[in-house]
Amino acid sequence: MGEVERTFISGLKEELVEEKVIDESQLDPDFAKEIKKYGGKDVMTFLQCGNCTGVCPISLKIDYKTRSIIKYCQFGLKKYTLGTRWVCATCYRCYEHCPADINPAEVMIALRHIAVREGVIPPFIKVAATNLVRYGQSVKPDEEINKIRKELGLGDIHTFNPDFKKVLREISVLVHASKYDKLIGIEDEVKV
Amino acid sequence: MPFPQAVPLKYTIDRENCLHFKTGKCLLCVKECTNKAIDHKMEDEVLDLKVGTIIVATGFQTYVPMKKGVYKYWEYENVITALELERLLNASGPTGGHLIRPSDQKTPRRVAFIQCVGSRNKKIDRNYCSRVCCMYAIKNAQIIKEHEPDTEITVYYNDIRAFGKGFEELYHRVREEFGVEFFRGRPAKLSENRETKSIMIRAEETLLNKITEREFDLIVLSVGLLPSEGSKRIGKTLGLSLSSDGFFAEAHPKLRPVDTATDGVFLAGCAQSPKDIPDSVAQAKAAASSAAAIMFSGKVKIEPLTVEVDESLCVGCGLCVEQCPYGAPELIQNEEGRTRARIIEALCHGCGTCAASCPQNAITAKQFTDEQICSELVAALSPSSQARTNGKKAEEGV
Amino acid sequence: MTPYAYFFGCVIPNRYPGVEYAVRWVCGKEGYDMDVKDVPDFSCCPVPGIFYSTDKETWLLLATRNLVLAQDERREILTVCNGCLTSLMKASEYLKDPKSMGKVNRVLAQVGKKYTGVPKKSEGKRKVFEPVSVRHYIEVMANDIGLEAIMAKAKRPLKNIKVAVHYGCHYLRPTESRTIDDPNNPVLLDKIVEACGATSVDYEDKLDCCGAGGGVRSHVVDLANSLTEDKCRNISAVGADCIVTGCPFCLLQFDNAQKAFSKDGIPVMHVSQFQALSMGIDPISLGFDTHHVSAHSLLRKLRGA
Repeated sequence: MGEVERTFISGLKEELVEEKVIDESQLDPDFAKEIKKYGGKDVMTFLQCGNCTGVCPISLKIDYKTRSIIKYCQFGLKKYTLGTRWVCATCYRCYEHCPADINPAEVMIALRHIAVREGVIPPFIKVAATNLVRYGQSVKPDEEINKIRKELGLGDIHTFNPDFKKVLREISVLVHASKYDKLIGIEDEVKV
Repeated sequence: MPFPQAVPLKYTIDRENCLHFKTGKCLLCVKECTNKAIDHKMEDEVLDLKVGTIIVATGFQTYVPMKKGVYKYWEYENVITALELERLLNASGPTGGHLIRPSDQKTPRRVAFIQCVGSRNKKIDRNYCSRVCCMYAIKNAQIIKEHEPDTEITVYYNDIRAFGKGFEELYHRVREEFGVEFFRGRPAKLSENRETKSIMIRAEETLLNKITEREFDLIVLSVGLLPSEGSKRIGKTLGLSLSSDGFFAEAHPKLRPVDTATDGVFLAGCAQSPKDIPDSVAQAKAAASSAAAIMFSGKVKIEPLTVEVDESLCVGCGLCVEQCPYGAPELIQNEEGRTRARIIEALCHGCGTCAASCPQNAITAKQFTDEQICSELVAALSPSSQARTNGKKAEEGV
Repeated sequence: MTPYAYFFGCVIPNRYPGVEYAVRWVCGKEGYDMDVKDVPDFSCCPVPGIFYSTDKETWLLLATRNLVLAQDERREILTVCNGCLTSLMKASEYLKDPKSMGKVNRVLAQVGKKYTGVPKKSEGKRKVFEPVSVRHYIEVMANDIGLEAIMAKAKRPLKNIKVAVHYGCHYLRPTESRTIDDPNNPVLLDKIVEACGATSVDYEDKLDCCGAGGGVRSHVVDLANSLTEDKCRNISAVGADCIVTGCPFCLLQFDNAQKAFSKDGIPVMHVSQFQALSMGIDPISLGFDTHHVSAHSLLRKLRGA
């Protein structure tokens, strides 16, 4: 590509392919209802004042605008919410400052619920869920740390306690009962 | 005089500093006043007045920003409220109309207005729009620009509500002629530069979809209007109800906007809801003429549909007295010396609350007796009437 | 005195045993001699960033399991972690709704557990239940133990130490159902630090997130670290000697992330460790060797002071 092309035309061709006009076929009127179902209450009462974006620590770092995500949810433009679901730190600052008293962080959480049900599961969810089923903890127990614990005079980590087997079984039963194992894809770990 | 243009425009004596009150002497002012208007012996008086009608025009008070809020009103010197700006811009104000900022008394070069402070905010239970802040901010922006044309002015707004006569035109004028900038977004963070005392505002420009950080010399908070402090007490005294926003409730939001549930009591101005000067004047005139209409006719029209007490059934329990919103029933001793309820017909509105609550069924509402209502129900639910309704529905294609 | 049950969560026992030691020490005979018991059957709270985010049903089941254990012991849960606090508190809040309580109990029956709440008193035949109460270490220290007691016990006041306090988001927010502290102007942790004899310094964006929450640390480490970098920049700008936080996950984030952008870093510790230091514990038993950022600079300053 020549200098001129790079300066003036680069990227234009890709943009041409993208849909620039949002027509009705892209709107999903049930999307807001679905979000409500998972606890993202009253998305529709949004004021669009932009306070949530301003206070969001993440939006200062990456191209992530809380306000526009909620706007997409209002319209039911699902595809625009896809990339940004997992970067919310759930610090709830947006909720604390929202003059409309809605909870954008809960909306993000509802979006994650929807994502998981569509099979979009980031690896760390699987890791943590596996740890929970295996060890009863979301953090993998560490032998080194256990040694230090003993030096300090603290007991073994619960997980290494033989009595803890019963707890692990209970966790498995509960995880299985709510079909979480299937949802996340850790059926092999759960023995009921 | 508290300050020029004070309302009412009258001189008062500052009791704490007056030499007469301090030492019992002086009285120079009394000698000088040709109208003999000064009397140091006057005391506060409580007067009992007998009146025919009352107009409640207790006004409003402005919102005071939170102690530890986002806008840092109490922490940063150069954050002021619109009322304080109003005094600064006033030709008879403390600076003679020169705009200065509190920290260094210099003329600010960049001024920001923040709208909707204390209005349209569910978090602090202020869901309503205060209706005047957009316009007074625009007006003040214009005045600043007229005084200091070089000032850069930015208004942080959510929605500009320029709904009155000539308001939209003013909004356009400050943008076109004066170049005031309007920025759609609610500020998220204010932080002060310790040396220059200028304040950085971080906000999302929602129309641009970008987060911006800009520095200003002076921040003006466009504070909203609150119901005045004594509203509840006055409401209790006069039997007025408050609407959910804390202002007095009118009898009917569309058809009776100056009347209240209590006959003879009228509302005017911001006591009823936030409003601007023309609206307040209009409502005040309406309230005045409504009050005058009753007073000059010399007669009061009352509801024909009142209630009746059957004395033979009444046991004088007094429940109706508690329940009545208009204070119509009273307990009296009848000839036999027994306590019975009596309805003061002039006060009764025929609402039927007492009739419904009476445990003895001693109260009946005229034209709404049990027999009348029962036969109405029977007729409405009878097969023939059902068939008629269904037929009608079928005709209409329901 | 109110009986408590320790709830350490996942991060403290598996990553920062020193914090566990400090908490036990402060609450134990050497410290305030509180009535706290271990409940070995407690599992993960479970993590709000993972389970609450992906399936509220499972989250509620697992959280209720923990609440039932505390309910059966008739004890208040004493959490040392903001994540556990938020998770369990929210669950306790959800269970106030009889419908969701019934739904949860139907499943919990499979493991022989039932959540009712703690029976408080009986009115005739009807028993009155109260939801299991979940308390944070900071709140218990400041309200139940009291700042004067903390001051009195601070045998070795940490004078000349400048502390940057980090509350952690979930200690303050969301305030939908609770208010431990003023979310715009929290004071309790500052007061504890001051009661230990140190100075709590104010810094820019004090209430901002450390960056770890909501799975951000696990998902996009660089993003989380860049948030921490911002915080650390503000903290070092005011010359703080150490960061004191009430949340082990924030501790973990500050501790690990500082490697990514600075050589030395600011020592980070949990409020219990800080308290224990002021009460004259031997720093060796606080397990600072498991921290990535060395606490030497601070300890040296302490010895010098």
